[in-house]
Amino acid sequence: MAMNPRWTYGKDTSLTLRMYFVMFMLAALYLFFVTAMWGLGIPIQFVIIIAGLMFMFQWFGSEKLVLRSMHAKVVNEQEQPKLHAMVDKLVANADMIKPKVALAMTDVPNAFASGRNQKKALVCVTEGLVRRLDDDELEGVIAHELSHIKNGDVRAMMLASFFATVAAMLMNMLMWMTLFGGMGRHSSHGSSARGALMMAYFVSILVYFLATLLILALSRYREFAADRGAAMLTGAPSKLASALEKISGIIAQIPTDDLRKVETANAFFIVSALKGEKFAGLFASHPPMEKRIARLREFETEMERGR
Amino acid sequence: MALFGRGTSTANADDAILAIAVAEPTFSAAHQMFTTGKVGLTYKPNDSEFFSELESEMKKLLTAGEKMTGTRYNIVSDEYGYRWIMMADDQFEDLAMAVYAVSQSFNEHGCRDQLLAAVFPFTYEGKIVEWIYTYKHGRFYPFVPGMDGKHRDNNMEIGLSDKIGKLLPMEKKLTQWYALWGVPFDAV
Repeated sequence: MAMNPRWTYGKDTSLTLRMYFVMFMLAALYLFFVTAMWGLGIPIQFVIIIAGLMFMFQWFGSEKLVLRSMHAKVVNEQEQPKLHAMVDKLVANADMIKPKVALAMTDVPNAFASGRNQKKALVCVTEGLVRRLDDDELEGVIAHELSHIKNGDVRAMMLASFFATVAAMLMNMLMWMTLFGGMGRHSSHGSSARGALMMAYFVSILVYFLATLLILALSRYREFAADRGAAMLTGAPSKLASALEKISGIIAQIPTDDLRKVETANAFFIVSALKGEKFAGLFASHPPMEKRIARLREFETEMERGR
Repeated sequence: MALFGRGTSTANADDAILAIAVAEPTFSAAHQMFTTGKVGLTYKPNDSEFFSELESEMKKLLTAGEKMTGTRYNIVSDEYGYRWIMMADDQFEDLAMAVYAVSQSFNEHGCRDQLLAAVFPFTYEGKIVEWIYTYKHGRFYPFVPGMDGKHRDNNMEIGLSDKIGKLLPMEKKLTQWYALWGVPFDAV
């Protein structure tokens, strides 16, 4: 295999197209939002400045905050030689700068990447993940997180969320304004100003709702892309697939149905059929596990054929 | 004699309930998991004469217990048509014994099949863990309900069953870990 095997199998064109389409829709939505607010006479510049400050705080905010909120700490090579060895190997394959490695003290099997660029990047896994997965599977998960870093996903998602944050802030502000009769000195304008406020309020709700859907879609596409990246990086998509199967398999077995309902249902031989999974898919930030696993299995056959 | 006598398996059926009384000091000392001072036992009532006899006898038993050990109780119905005996006592041992005694009187009246579950709530890492004992399987499993009444903290549940597995007879099949939403702990 070549030194840099990442893109030798080509990109997923349709995925890339969908990703760009969603980003275009987001940009159009935000442009509409700002224009509408301007038209309705809402002093949106103040909100943008406040949201901008929040954004800067996130952008330059220390990783210590992220780590603390996840009960995680950065570990060095002496503390976690195995983790470091894995990251070293994958980073060399991906031709990227080595990120910091952190371990979270929780039994929740999970992993995440952070940092707005490769220099600030950090990859974190939880103790629960390390405990449950074997080395190959863990390598698959780490490769997925490294792909997020390589693809600049943290930065992309922060940017995508910026105007959604603005819309959410405006939503709150306008709700209080309409409740308490207008913007102070403008209240003399009477009902027309009030109408504009109501209008702006509804536009903000709409923008926030649509933006959230688009951001979630974008996030799901980026997850697929990171899965693909991990497959290329490890050269074995099945590693990540079996890790996902293991994590989701454990969790998925536990029902959410009520024991009383089940007992009653058993007595009447009723099977609960509808679970509203379509709806959940629309609002989920990660694609369903089965879909991700199925795609990884497809890569596997694709790669075997390419050999 | 053995044909009509009470089989040993029935007599000792719910000894697992005693296991949680034995385990509780270790819960608090080794795992910082503390009793909330309450417990709930739920059963499906029916219209038979036997059953109303059982219920009135049970109330006598519970009232006697209230005088003896100070274990308060209240009986409420829920939207599933199940009835709940809710009990409160600062002494966890008294709570567990009360649940055991009620279970025994169900057994003696031949109404064991009406019993569904006993729920022992504990505080743990800022959340409420409900240890659910099902009469059908005679085993415990953890249930950590979320605030929204829809989601449960599966990760904490799995972590807990790993930790506590040696102290209680644990339900190994995760597919049997059914939820019990909205146990009426406020009723007592």
